[in-house]
Amino acid sequence: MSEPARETTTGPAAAQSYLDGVRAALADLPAAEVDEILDDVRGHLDEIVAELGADADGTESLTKRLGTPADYAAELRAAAGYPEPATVAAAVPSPWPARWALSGMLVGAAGLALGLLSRNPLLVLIGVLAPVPALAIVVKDGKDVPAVAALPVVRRFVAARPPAGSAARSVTDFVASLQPAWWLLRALIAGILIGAIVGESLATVVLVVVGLPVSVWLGYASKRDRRWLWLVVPLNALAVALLPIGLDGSNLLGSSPRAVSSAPLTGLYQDDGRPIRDIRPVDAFGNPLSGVYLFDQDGRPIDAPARAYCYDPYPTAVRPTGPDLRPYPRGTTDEDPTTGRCRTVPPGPLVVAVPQPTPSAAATGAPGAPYGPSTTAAPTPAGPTG
Amino acid sequence: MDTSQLLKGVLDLAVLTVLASDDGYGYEVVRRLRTAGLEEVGDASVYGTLRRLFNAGLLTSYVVASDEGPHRKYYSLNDLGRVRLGEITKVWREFAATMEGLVGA
Repeated sequence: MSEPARETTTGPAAAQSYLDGVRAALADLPAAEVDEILDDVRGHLDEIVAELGADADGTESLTKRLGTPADYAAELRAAAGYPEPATVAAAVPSPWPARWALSGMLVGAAGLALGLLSRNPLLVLIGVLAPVPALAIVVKDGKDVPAVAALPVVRRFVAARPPAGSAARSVTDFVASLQPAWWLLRALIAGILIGAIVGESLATVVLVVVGLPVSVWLGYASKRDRRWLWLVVPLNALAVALLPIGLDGSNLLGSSPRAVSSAPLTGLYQDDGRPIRDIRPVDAFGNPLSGVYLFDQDGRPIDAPARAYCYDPYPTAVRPTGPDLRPYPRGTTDEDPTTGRCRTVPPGPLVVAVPQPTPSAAATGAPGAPYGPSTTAAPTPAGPTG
Repeated sequence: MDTSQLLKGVLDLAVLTVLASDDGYGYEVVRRLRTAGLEEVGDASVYGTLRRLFNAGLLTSYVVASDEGPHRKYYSLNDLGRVRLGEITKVWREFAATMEGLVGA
């Protein structure tokens, strides 16, 4: 009798989605019974759709006519005398996702703060990763994160707020009123520290200018939509942890080493930053040369300053005020421990190991460089300089 | 007072009565009840009541392939259903008379 009729199984998509909604609401009933019911309901929906005809605009018109699928299922359930849905299971969902979510936020905050303070990259990594799965849970939970708010520990925490009118309440209210100041402060911390790391004062200005409104916006957003807390709380912990680090490293900001190093930038330096205070030329066999003048590629004399290690209130006649044009080696200028004045120390005996030019080095000696492979075979002093 | 509250108690009687005169499919029962003046009867309530009466063994069902639309599951009153209808009708008459006496006094 029930031959595969034309419109039976595949009614309009709206009826199908409505039917799915009813099925979901009755999912706790025995499957065979649900099938019987849904057979009826399908027929019912087909009738309604046919009745609505051209006026039918999807699930909405069905809902207007019959109520939501859940309402429909509830009414049907009551009339049919089926047991109420397993309310315990449905109304009180497992607290575990909410617990995970809360733990993720707290572990994230603690990991970031403690990891930074103890310079433990593993803790920081945990702090970064922990809120991620928690975020996935709370995003589904809704903006007031009801599942987390329902946790006993959260309810106790909220209930622990002092009663209105008490002295303690006026204190907590005052602290709470400082919140916007914290929003500004954390933006400043973040901007200044990131700027210091980047090493650009312009970056600091841009970060602070951009960061201030973003931070304030985040503050209000997390009041409206508590899900933001899963991002904001770990970041706050980060800012709190950065605060002492920032103060500790504030010499890095105030009397920054860049400021120190930029003043005496004259002179020559090894790659490791040690100053070159004299030049000790030797020939290919390691014999010291004297009376050597050095020039750069443009023929300008190379001046390795022998000064700057002592304060000389009476400049001696040894060094003219202009560029130092003496040949190398010149000796170095040091502080005389007895007088505190500058004194010139003549070049002492020095033994250097002259590297043997390898065949390849010799071969690659550029023909255009008339003074040989001096750039490739840089001598390394074996003894103490000066 | 909302009629739907009253309807809940007498929906069995209403549905059995409607089916006593002639077999009907779900939506047809709804329409007959509405035509009879029970405007507030809920569709899902009727379908749920039909299921309950069927599960209680008071109704039988059969499917009819329709020419112009979906196949339809018809419900019909069986002997047990007729007996039950007689009982409920008796209870209802007594109850209605009592209420009438109470309210009309």
